[in-house]
Amino acid sequence: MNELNQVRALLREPPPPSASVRTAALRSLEDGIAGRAPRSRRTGPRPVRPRLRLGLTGLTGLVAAGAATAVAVAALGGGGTGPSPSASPPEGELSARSVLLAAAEHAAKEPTGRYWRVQTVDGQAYRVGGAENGYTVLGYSVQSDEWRARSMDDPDMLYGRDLGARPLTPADAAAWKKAGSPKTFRVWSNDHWATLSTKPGETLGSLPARWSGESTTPAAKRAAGRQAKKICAEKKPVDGPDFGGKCDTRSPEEVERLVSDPKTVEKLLFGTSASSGAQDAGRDLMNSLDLLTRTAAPPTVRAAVFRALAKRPGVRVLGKVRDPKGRPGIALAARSVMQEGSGTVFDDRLVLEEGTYRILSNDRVVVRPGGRMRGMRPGDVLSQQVFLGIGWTNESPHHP
Amino acid sequence: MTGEPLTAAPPRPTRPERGGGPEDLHDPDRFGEVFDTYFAEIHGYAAKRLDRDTAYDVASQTFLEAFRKRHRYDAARANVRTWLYGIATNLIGKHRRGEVCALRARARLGPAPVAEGHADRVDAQVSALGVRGALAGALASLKPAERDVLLLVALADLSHQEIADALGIPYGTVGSRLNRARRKVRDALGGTNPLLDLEDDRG
Repeated sequence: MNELNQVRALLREPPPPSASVRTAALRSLEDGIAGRAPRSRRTGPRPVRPRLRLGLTGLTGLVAAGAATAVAVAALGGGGTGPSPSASPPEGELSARSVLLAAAEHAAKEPTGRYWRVQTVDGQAYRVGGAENGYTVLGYSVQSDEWRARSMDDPDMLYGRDLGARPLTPADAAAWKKAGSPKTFRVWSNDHWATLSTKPGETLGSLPARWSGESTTPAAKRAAGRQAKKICAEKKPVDGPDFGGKCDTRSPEEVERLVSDPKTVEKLLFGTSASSGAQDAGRDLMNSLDLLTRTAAPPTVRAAVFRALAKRPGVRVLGKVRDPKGRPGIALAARSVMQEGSGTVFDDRLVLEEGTYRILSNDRVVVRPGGRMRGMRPGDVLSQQVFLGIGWTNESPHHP
Repeated sequence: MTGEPLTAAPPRPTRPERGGGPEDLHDPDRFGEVFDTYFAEIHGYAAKRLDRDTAYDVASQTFLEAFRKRHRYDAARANVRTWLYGIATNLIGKHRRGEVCALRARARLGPAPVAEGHADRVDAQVSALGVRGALAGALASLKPAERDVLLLVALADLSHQEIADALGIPYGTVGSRLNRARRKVRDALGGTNPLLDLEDDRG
């Protein structure tokens, strides 16, 4: 036996990493990348960061650049007239700024609880068939239920399940029925053909049809925090377009202490280039949404995020709409250009509930297609996320 | 020893195509594939060289680094696995003191008792030869650059060219460092011991 074998024997195979180590590492990867605020949703082609969770990764790839059609704006297009907002701007003076400031006011008054619970259904849109008889389906759709503990001493819980593919809108459902209600769809996803099934649990790489959960222990949370700090300490000030100035590792408590200074919040959310123009508006909106939905940030922080967003150039108001579940809301939008080379221009849209300014849904739609997305039309939905419930609770973690 | 499947990962269906390739690296949405494919292996490598907590730090840090530097990854130069080993090795370098202290501690302990039952054959031989302590001492006394090369061969099964790519050093340097490292280890073990097979398995 030679010395290499002896070295191998001396440094024997350690036990494989436990699931919790792996989860903590994955979280730390997400948090470290994002600079602590946030993780992005499983939105389609995105100019910013990845979503890496629950083994859903990878399959969230770029969306359906398939056949052409204009669809699905209906979900947002219809001008719903809901109940009159209480702390809202006067009718006719709807502006992104006034909406966001009203949202800040509401957010500041929310009573906190032990957990910040967020229930969502999301998915990527894919075109099946041609422009005439085709329809759009929502695939890689997951229902999730996230419980983020207010205290570092409580574990976070994350539940999820695969929902199966289904037509996006009622119009799509009609076209799908007309096509014989097929149970599987062959769709172009990013760079390959994929087959989606209407049957939950059949989505490759996604979750089972039954609810499954994973928890992050307090120790893992702390380790992830330390980790992100370490990485960020070594990080050079500017390191690629995605991360310029975004490495911030302050704990929620530290952030809470800092929010009295609006400048700090802006810097946290939008990076150092506070004067950056409207071309980053989409990213600004999504970063803010991440912090608002995926962290147990206290009311003061949440309010500060809305206020900071209100100052952002490029965040605009679309008006009153109904969200994909038909709930009346006010839509905001911000524009971005895809960075995967196609030059496709898209809008990220956010719908807030009228009156309460709770987050109802967000989606991403094509504004001007380019490159391999050239087949798409303005208004085509790329991905969407619907918030079934979002807010503080004192319940113990469970799924529906 | 390398290329182990992800034993700790929850079982789930695989992608149609193999994950964790260069294309995943460049698509931020798919970076998770890289993590899924290599985390257990990189963690294992770090855990062989460092204590458990530090190994965790190094492994998770490796993927963060990889993500941050993914724009600089050059598929023409190295495959993703090699590249990750390079990053991990450099990070381990920052914990050199810990690694060396642990090795020295093992060197002082001398021959370890053969663990009951599950000690594998090679391990038993190492113990039987009474060389465990000497070996650990030899590894501890290697120059860090030599130890990196030796352990990338021994623990990661990387080829000379892959090591050159991973560490960003010339091909010839890999060979010379490896030879020096092996000679030192052999000497520490009693280079003339007839029990030692001096054949180079990677030349």
